[in-house]
Order: sequence, then structure tokens, then C-alpha cells
Amino acid sequence: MSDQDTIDFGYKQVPVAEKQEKVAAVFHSVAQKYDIMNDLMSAGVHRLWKRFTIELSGVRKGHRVLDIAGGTGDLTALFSKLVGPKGQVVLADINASMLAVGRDRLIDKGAADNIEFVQANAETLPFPDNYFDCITIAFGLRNVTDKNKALASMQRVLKPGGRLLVLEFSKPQFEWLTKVYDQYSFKVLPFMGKLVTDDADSYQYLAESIRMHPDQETLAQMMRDADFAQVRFHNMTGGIVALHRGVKP
Amino acid sequence: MITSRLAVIAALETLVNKTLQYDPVTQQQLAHIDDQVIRVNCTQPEVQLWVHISDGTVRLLSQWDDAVDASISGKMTDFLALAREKDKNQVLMSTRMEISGNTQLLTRMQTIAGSLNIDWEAGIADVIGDLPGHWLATAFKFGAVFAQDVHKSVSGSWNNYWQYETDTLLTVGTYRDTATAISAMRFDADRLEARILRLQKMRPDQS
Repeated sequence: MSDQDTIDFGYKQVPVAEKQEKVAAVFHSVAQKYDIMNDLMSAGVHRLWKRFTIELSGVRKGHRVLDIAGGTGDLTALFSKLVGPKGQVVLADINASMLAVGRDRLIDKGAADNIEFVQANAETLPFPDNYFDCITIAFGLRNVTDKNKALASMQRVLKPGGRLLVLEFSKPQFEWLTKVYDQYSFKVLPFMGKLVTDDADSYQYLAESIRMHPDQETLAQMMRDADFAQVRFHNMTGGIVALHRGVKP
Repeated sequence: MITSRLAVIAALETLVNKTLQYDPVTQQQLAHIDDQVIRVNCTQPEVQLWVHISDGTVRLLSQWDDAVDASISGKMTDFLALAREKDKNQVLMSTRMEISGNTQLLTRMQTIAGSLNIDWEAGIADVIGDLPGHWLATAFKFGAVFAQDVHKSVSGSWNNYWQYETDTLLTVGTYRDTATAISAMRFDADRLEARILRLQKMRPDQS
């Protein structure tokens, strides 16, 4: 993928070099109200989706975990308790504003002893090979410019036997749900965004980027292509969200 | 389906950990069990749950793909009996519950469960205030003692009544023996009557 090529940014096509900047602008804009918007948009259900991610991670004391696109640190805080003082959790995000909000929140909670904060691009992770026991990326992969490159980078830094968990919006499994979900995404979400963050465009982008993201089977195949084994996915809330899991052989 | 199951388990986990806050001794004992996963497998109805104990808190999991430290399996009725009965070993031996893995861990959990002593009054007081909490807890205690007394009295009276009534009722065996004896007596009486008739006919003044 060269910088001259174009790539989707929501429904728009933009030059590859611009996507990262445009996504960054979206998250700079919503960072401060990100958590409250997540609770509002999902009626709190995002906590259950993240809980399931933690369950499937199999993380125990002493493990090393990388939370990519960790944003405001929901998963990082939970992992921090699980790995204990001998373990390590790295909260990585490409966006400085999101990382700052996450870091402040975790420090305020007193949960930062075994946490490191790294501003990093998922496509070029700045960690050694075979370093992490588990990598999670929750609601982040769809914003990555080159998803295949990001998956390859995650595969590289994961230990053999380590797990990658991708929590992401996906394709609803029922026709009726798709219709309701479309109405909700394109009518209600931008309205909520306008009301809470005074930014309807970012939430319009959210709805569009979800539609452009690969469906369950396509993402599973992408993970297999990136040399992940035992790839499987779990649909949640009728397929609105799917959790993909792969193991580094 | 996953989401609703997760919601139920999350609520249950919160309830368990909130309740444990009112039993500091149990919390201390749990703190000694570090980073252990127990699989609880209910065979009827089919429900699986994983319990992860770490840092004195209990995590309930709907899914666990890795090895577990211990496993306990049985019917729902067996688990209820295990929770209800004081002699847990007796329940484990009398039911068809299966345990595997680190049995020492399960024994410790069993001991901890057996010595649970939750300060319900403090819990209620935290929600509705000290005074109403105390009143409500006293009312509950009184109600529980009253219910126990009534149960003891009713079950005692019932046993007495039943014993008395069974003395006046025929058992199946007695009925069967009596019926056989009556039947035999009827045949004997018929035979005797026939013999008397025959003898009467044999008398010269009757011929």
C-alpha cells in the first residue's frame, strides 16, 4: 500500500497518507467525552463486551499484556489487576489525546504501578519479537490504515502460544436488527454526538467506519493470513460486535 | 445470548463480592488462595461456570479456555444439598458429584464456605441506614427464630399424629393375612354346613 493509493475514511476515499491524520482528528475531538459517549451509545453494554474479552484472554498473574488502541484504559485497568505486580500491561494508542485521558484516569485510580503508556502505531509496534502473552485491540482495528500490516506486527510481538483478541463492531446476524441498527447508527448516534460532544461528524464517521470494516468471516481470514492459528469468533448482541481470537503458533 | 449471560454473571459476581465484604474472616481466608481457577459444571440443567479467586476477590467467568486448577461436577440438586447441609463430606459421598484436579483447593473452599458468617445487619444498614437496618435485621432474626420454632413444633406434632394413626391402621401384610384367614374360615364354615346337612339327612327320623 503506497501513500498515493486511496483508502476508506468512513464512506469517503482519502489518500492513504491522510487517513491517520483524519482519524487522529476524530479522536482528539471526542477524547474527553469518550467514556460517557460509550456508555450512552451502548447503554453500558460495552462493559459486558469488554468483560468477555477479558474472559477469553486467559490472562493470569505475571503475564505481559498489550492493549492496543487502549484509549481511556478500560481493559488496561482490568488487566492490571489480573497480572498483579509481577506482570506488565502496556497501554498503547496512536492518539496522544486518548492516551493522556487514559493515563490520567488510571493514575487517578491508583492502578498505574504495573502499567506503561506508549504512543504507538499498531502497524509498527515498537516492541521486541515474542514479547507479550496477550494482545487486545478493542474498537481500534477499523481505524487502522493498513489492517494486514497491523495484524502482522501484532503477530510478531506476541509470544508463541500467546493470544490476540480483536473486539470490534461487525455485521448483525439478523435482517431486522440490521435495519434497526442502521437507523440507530445514522440518525441517533450523530444526534447524541452533537448533544454531548458538540461533534456530529465524528459519530457519523463512527457509523460509516463500522459499515466499511470487514465482516466476521473476512476478519477471521485476515487473521489466518497473518499466521494466526485456532482463529474463531464469537458474535455478541446479535453480531453488532464480534470478538475474534487467534493464537500465535 | 452471550451478552445476557454475561450480564447475569456480572451481577452475580458483584453480589458475591459485595456480600463477602461483610465477612472479613472469609475474605482473609480467600486472600490466601491466589490466582486459582475452579470449574463448576452443573450437569442437570447444563450450566458451566468458572470461578477465579485472586487477591481475596471472586471472579465468575462464563468462558475459560485454559487449564483449571480444580473441577467439581454434579446435578443442581447436589450443589444445593452441598450448600445447605452442614456435613459437606457426607453430601460429596452420598451424591454422584465428581471432583478432580487440586482436591486440596476444593477442600479449602469447602471449609471456607462452611464457616461463612455474613454480617447481614451491616449490609442492610449500609443500604437503608443504621436504625431501620437494625430494626429490619431484628425483625428478620425474630422471623427466622419464629419460623424455626413453628417448623420444629409442626414437624413434632405431625410425627406424633402419624405414629398414632399408623397404629390404628392396618398394614398391607396384616390385611393380607386377615383376608386369607377369613377366606379360609368361610370355606371351613361352608364345608361344616354341608357336613351338618348330610348328617341331618342320614338321621332315621328324617328319612
